[in-house]
Amino acid sequence: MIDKHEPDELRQKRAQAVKTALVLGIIAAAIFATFVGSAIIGR
Amino acid sequence: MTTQVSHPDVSETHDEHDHGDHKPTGFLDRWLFTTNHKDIGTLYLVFSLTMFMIGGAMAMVIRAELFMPGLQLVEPDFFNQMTTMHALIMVFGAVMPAWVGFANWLVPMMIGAPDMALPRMNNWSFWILPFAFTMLLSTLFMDSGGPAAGWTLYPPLVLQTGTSFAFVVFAIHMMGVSSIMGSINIIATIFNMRAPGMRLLRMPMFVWTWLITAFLLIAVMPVLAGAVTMLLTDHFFSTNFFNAAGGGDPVMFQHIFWFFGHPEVYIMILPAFGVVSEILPTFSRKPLFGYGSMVYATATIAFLSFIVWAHHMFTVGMPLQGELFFMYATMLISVPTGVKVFNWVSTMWQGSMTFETPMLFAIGFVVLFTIGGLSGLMLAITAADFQYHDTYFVVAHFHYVLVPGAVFALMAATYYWLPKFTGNMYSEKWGKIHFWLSAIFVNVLFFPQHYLGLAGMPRRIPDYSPQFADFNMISSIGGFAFGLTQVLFVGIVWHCAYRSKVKATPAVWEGSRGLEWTLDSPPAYHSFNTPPEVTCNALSRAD
Repeated sequence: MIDKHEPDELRQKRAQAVKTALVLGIIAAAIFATFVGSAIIGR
Repeated sequence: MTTQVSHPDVSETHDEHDHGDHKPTGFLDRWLFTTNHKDIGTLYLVFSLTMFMIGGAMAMVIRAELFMPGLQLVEPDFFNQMTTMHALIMVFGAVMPAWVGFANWLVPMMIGAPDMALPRMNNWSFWILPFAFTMLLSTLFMDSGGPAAGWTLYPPLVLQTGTSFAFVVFAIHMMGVSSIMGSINIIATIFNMRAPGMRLLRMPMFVWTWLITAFLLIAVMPVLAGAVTMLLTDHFFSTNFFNAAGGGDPVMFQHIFWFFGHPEVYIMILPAFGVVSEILPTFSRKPLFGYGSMVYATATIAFLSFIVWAHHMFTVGMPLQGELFFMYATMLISVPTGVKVFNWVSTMWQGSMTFETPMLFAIGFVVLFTIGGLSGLMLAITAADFQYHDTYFVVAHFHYVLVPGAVFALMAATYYWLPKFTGNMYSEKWGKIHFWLSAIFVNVLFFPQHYLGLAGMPRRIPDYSPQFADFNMISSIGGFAFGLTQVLFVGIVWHCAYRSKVKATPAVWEGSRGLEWTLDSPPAYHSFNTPPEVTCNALSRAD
């Protein structure tokens, strides 16, 4: 959903925040996969 | 230095900008579907208080059973379920959500943002939690009972939990997802939503400590998720990650768990450091001593928290070199922690101090948390730890860190910002009574446990040798009194929110500084719609 009343500057900040969140989410998923993966390989 | 900030939401101009106070009118719209950081912060705080009461009730069961030797009230297995659930609820349901609640309320206001960066994800982060904890608590009513192997969930014992174990693991996964989403939101907010001029080294210490805490959470919650997933497959799908009979290694679980578990301690305590760093300057009427060193000390503590995990498991039989490394690395943490304690003392030194309730709790934190820190230093000594391990000395140590540490800081934060949140002043007289009763009884509760541990009383047992009877009775009396005192806290908060007739000013405290104090008390539903301009350090602690 897009808030039409949201100022452009704020919308740009939120768009940038979504990118930050995606990067952090990928990092979290990668850490999970690394630990489980290394346990499987180590076994 | 003069304060130079301009924005339309400050109290002087607020009447002309009442457009910021449009709240949803329906109950569901206001609370279930809310995307407002203040409402979500309130939800987190109310949830956390509820969990404190439930976890506290479990602590009362534990202390009642331990009041005297012998089995009096509960079966041993139920006792173990109580110790396990008490810890899981206090760590994941009470302390962590309370800090996220304060972060939701304060981070946007402190950095001059209109809301969190990702408000819908913020709503989701919160509303996962009640389901997670309902699921976790429901295991107590299942045939197989709740988890009883301690919050560390060590195999092979935890694998003896019945079918309810699947619910426990799913609940932990949901808590982890909630924490990770909350952390991502906080980092995205701080990195992207700061007001013009709010440079990183102008941010309040509470924002700094939460930024670092959020990174810790993103780094370690997936590790816990991985560990419990492997427990789940060991239990239900015949894998043998941690099952020695199938070639697995239970010690590997301990390594993985504590790689999560030690940073988790700092996740609970770093925001407390931030709160104390806000409160002490206000009531000392001085800037925070050594702002930059406080930031770097926080980051150093966070870094070191990743390389000390094995001090929790010295007795498993590590190589001597490993034990020495973890011993010295652990002791190293006392350096940045000492920087913080000395900076807090230096902040108060020659300040024009007054002792309102938040200040009392903050000073109580500094003194009593330091006791927990010093007993931690004793536990870090490998040779000595062989004696202390799994005794009540460890219980005393981490309760000093978490109760007069993290919980006192939460109390301090509540008294400090509650007038801002509600627009009303709490009763200073009852606040002080609450502090002194808490400060006395928390020591009656936990200090004797040092002696019990040194005398050899093991933890997680419902019965004990008669030689431990006296100190256990004193500890239990302290526990009941401390628990009752917190009912007083609930009354004070309720009275402040709904009955107090004393209105709070925007600044609330004489020495308060920071963007949140430029807003009305309570602030408008939508604040900082137009970002303020921060043009000097006067609104931060960085001068």
